[in-house]
Amino acid sequence: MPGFLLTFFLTVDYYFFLNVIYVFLVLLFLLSIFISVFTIYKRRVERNKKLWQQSVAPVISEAIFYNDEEEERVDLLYISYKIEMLLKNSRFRQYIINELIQVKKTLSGSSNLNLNRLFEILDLDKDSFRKLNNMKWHIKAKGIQELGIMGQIKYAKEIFWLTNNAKEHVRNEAQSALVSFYGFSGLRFLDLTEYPISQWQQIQLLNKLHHVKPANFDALQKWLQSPNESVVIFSLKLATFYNCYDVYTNVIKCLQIASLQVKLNALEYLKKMPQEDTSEQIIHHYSFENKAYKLAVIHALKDIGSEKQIPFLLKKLHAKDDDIKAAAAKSLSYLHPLGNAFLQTHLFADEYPWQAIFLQITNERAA
Amino acid sequence: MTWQKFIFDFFTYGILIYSFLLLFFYIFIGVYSTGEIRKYLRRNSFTDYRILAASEHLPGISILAPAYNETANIIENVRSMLSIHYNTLELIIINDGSKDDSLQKLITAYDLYKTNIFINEQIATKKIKGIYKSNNPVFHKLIVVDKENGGKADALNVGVNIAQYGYIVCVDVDCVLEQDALLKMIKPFLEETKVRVIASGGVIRIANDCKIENGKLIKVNLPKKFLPRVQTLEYIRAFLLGRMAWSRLNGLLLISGAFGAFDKEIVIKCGGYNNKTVGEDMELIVRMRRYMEENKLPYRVTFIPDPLCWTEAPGNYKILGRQRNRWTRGTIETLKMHKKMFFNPKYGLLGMVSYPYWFFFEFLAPIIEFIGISVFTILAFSGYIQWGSFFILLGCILLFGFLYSVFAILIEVLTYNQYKAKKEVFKLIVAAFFEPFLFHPFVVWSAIKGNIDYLRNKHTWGEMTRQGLNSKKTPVNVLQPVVIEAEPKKAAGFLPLRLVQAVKEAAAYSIILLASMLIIKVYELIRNAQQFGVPKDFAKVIRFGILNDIAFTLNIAIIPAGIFILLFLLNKKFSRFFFIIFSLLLIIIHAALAEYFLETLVPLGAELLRYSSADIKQTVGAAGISITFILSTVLMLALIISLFIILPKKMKFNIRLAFTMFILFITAAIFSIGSITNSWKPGKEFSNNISLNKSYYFYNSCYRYLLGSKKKDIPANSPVALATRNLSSAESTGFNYIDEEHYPFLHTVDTGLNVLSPFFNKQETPPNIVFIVVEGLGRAFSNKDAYLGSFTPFLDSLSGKSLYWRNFLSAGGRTFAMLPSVFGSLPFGKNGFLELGDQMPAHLSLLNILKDNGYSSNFFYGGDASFDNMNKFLKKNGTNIFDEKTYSANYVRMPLSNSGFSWGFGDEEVLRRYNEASPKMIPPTCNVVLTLSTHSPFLINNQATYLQLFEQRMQALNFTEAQKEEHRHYKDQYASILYADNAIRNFMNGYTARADFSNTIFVITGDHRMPEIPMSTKIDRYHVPLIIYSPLLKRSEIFGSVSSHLDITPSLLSLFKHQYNLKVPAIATWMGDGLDTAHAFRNIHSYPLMQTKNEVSDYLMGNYMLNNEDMFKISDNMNLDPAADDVEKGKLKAAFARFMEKNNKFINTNSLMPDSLLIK
Repeated sequence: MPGFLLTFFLTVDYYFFLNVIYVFLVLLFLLSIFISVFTIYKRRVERNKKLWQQSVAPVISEAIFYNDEEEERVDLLYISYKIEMLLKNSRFRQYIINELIQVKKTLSGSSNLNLNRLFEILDLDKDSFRKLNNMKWHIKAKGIQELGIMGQIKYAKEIFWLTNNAKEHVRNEAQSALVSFYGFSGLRFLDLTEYPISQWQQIQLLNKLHHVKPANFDALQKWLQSPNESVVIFSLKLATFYNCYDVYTNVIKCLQIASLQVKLNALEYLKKMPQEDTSEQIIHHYSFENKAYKLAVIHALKDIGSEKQIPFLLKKLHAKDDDIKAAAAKSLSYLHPLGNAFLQTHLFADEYPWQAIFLQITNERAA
Repeated sequence: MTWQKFIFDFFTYGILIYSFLLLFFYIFIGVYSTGEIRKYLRRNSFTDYRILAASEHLPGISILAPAYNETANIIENVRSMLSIHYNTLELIIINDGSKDDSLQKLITAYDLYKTNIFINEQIATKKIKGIYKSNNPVFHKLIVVDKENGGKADALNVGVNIAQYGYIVCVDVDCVLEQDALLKMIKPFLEETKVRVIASGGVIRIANDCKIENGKLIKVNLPKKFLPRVQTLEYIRAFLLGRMAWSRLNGLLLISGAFGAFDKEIVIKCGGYNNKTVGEDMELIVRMRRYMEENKLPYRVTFIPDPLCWTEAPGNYKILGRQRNRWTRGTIETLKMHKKMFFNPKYGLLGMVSYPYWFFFEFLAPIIEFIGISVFTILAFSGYIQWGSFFILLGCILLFGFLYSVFAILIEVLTYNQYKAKKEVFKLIVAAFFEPFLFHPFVVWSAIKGNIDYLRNKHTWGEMTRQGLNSKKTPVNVLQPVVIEAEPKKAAGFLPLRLVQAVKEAAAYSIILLASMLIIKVYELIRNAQQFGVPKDFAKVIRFGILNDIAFTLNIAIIPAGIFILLFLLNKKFSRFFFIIFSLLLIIIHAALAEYFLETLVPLGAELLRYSSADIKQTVGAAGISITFILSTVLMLALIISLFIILPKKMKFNIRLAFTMFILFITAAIFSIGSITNSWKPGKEFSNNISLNKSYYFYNSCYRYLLGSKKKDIPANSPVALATRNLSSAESTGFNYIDEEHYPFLHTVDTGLNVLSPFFNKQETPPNIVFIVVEGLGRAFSNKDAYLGSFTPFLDSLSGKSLYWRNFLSAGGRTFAMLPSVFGSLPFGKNGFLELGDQMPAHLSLLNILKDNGYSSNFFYGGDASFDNMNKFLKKNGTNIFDEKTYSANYVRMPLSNSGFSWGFGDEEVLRRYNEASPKMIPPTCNVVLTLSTHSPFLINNQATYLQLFEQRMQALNFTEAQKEEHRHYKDQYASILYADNAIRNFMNGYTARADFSNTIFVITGDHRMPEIPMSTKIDRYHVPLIIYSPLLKRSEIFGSVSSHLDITPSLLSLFKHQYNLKVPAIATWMGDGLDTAHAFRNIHSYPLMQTKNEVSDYLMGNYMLNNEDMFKISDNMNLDPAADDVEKGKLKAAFARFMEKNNKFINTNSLMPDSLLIK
């Protein structure tokens, strides 16, 4: 290869560069043409969208404002000939899907159902469903998202099998769609999901579950023992979010799992739903843990601890790490019978960093 | 290959390869980034950030915004940041000791109160004066820290210490963030499941002329002014293409300080921002990555292509220059701090790709571009490269830059398309077109200044005055002009340690190499002075000698130094070993060349390449290798090796000096300083040769020899070519050529040209001819007017009875040319006719023509006739050879040299052998005697006698003591000449008694002038006597006209044809047109002379001689004076070119004449 390169450079002459210039000029010309054509195309699409909007907006408005009693009449909505003609255009169909999704995101209640129905009347669900068979992940995911948002529960079975798809965004959208369809019950994909559920996806799912009332927490116990760590973490978040007392024992067991994230989420749960032995349980493995866990334990003791943990906290007041000191001091100010005043009686109350720490706590408690 | 050429090629191809690599990287980045952008856009299309904005499940983020003298916009900027869509957020404004009323304004606007917060100072910072929070719950996310001025890095470190959340986002306080910027920035941290995302960068866009209200971006506009507009393009290119590609490779080294998100835990573990650099943003990322690599923790640094952060770009060159200057210094400082990673496989992609890319294509790019453009311009001005080529190359590069910018614009249009207004894209393309002319040179210059400032230890941020984004034209200072107290440091310490060490050591080794060269020069001068006395112009010789040696070392040093540096990066020991071995080879060759010169007084050139190993052995053996030489060589080498081993460790080089030296090497090589100083000469030929750097001469000669044929190609439209075309062969040589295409030298012979007949009586039978060719016999020391005094008393007297040509020339500078020239007037071919060996084409010669006319020819030689292929030539011409192999035991060989070598039999013995053999020969005969006593090592039998004769001769010549002393340096040479002269005297005296004496013509000449006695001019080497003596002569004559060996055969054949009616061909390939018998000095001939076997560089025509590019005017006694007559020079060049053309044809066809013309 070096020999080849050397030969190339030694034999190359300036006419070669002249040819390179010609190639560059041709490329430049093509790029400029492409930019111009694309700009024109984009403008035309925008213009078309504006025109389509004029036709679509009345139909969507009409669908939104039908009330519950007249639900069945949505089927009788007047679809103009113009729209019927436009519906033959696949771009228009995608446009109207996007419009419906945009509107759907801002609405709730019966209007929502009307829009779902309109989606079906216009056979747009079939468009979205077709995307599920597309080989490209982003199109597949888009189809799932459309079906999920537009409440097309009839495709739930097909979507369910995609919750364990190798493509992250396909399974994410499938999981979200199921939760949209069935709420907490939609989480049954946690039984079989093999892939990690990212924190981002967990947040998305939790957001979707925000207003959903849970029916049955039995599955949580199983999920808390899942070999998939992200399922355990997510289950702990669910248990915390839904104040689920039944899984306390399972959560305590989670403290023995090596993953820091599992333990921190378990602590969050225990902080929210403590039992008598919780404080002792959480400080049981304290010395072997890292700083983040230690801080979380001491912070948790502030809320769930009792005078029994004061010796432990006093010891931590002299830990090497100033953050631990500060956390211990704060928890002590809550747990000690003397409260805040205890800090002033401490032997090192006038020494750095205790002085600064105590001053901050005093200020915070006073505020 | 001249060093000039080598370095020129090295430089041009070096720059070319560098440019190709750079372009390759750009193309790769362009293509690779588009995939990443497409992927990002697809992935991001599924997220609805509006819904997530209020999520309580998102992790907390602390925004850190350092502020210095921000009073103008601080309130709006803080309000803008507080309104960002994110649930769990704290905004920490760090007032870095502002001198204005920023803090007071904040206190008032946000109802702040001073609070006590315990700060775990995990990163050491300047003192915090106070921490403020708002009484108004609406602003509960806001924390304002007031601290002592310590610079941006220090302010950010305070923010890191205070931040309560796990993720920190560092922003410039004057930046305008998009509402969903934090959501988009936090997403990569939360999306990744396999590795830890330690940092994420965001795109910075130019906000000049954009519509901003209450800290929010309302409308995006393309900047109206050229500078911000072109920066818009630059940012699109850098962020959309460059950083996306590096992000995809996971090799991103820079996240802009204006907007970046970090994992706080890793930031703290790495020690936070470094306040000793002005490039703290890049430095932190590099350090974080290094930390992860060293701890073998899987990680990623991601990048978001969304336009999330808008900032104001410098609007004038002054501020822009400061900014780029600072960026350059930041880059240098960061690279220096982490030089350990340079090509360190331990750091994986980071060490092997990212860091080297930044080093070569970010840090070095402006330097190389600057040097490249400067040097190419100089080369174009100085004519080394054509302007056309220069502009084509430049155009190519500029066009590529333009193309790359347009490609970036296309990607922008296809993705975010921020500039939707009419013609904005077109305006961007126009800006891209002008960028290389109006913007890029300034950026390069600023980077160069950055480098200079860095070397000058300048560490200021440089004040950056901005106009403000909220349509308020109040100048505000947004970047802290903090002077960082730099640690005392070595210059150029930004470079990786290994490279610095390599350059230092290379400098040290080069100095030792130079010292070694000078040691040899001193040795050479001492030996010279010992042997040949102190020249009159010794001071000049020393001066020029040292200058030449320094120049040669500087010229060549780039090779060992350059390779050493490269090798050093891979293996230190091997690189040192390489340098020492390379230098030793160089020194040994140099010493050998010096020794050769001392022995022969001729610098050795490429002729070495043409001699067979046997020839070399013979020549070197003849010179003799003494014990003293071996001992002194061993001692010298031991000394030099010791210098190489001991000194480099003790030589403490300042890095600036080392780099200066390295640049000097490059410069010296580019301008071939060796060739420049080589043309500065003390004056006299011998002094010139002493002061000459023998290595330079040798390598240069070898290069010219190896690439000589190419060099001789004359451009078709050059003046010489035109003159050549106009100058017919006949005009240049006077011959009538028959078939130049196939037989370039074949011409008709002017049968009427019979210049010798008038001087000879006619006999009935053809006369015998005896040629005595005396080795090394030069006119410099023979006969009247010899400038060294005549040491050939017999020949002097003989010439008085003969036809004597005092301005006669040999055709070659060495013996190799003698036989073909004297007896065949033959062309040289590539390396002399004899060198063709068995491939010698059929040819006419005096020997074979006489043989066809009934003559027998015999060659008498005291040595081995196979030397120089003489035997092959003679056999081809039907000549009997009487060389050393035919000598019986009663002949005495010449004394052995120190090395036990002897050329063979001395002149007396050769002539005795002649006398022994010739009487048995049937006349007519043509006998040739070639002597060799007057050849190095000049050892003759009975030397003491001749040394005594030498003294007497000097006395007889009335030499002054000074002259005597000077001549005594060459006493062996002179003694050998006297010996040869005496041998000829005895021979001639003896011959007079022979019956055939009366019908014999004696032709006596030298084969070339002995170079072992210093020469005075370029032509001196060829200046030999020609004596034609015969009892048949009507009268004696002395001719002042110029003739040469090439003229002997044509004239003699003409004589024989006319007087004895011998069969002589009417068509021949003679190079000479016959002896000139004019009494006065003149030259009517036109032919080349070949000094060594490798090159024909001398051409004679009229009263001029061309030696390479120099022309001299010849005057009587063959004196040369430099001549500057361009017309004459053009003629000579044209005639020379014409000859070379014919000679090349002969080389290609290896045929002189059709077989049918050869006399059978």
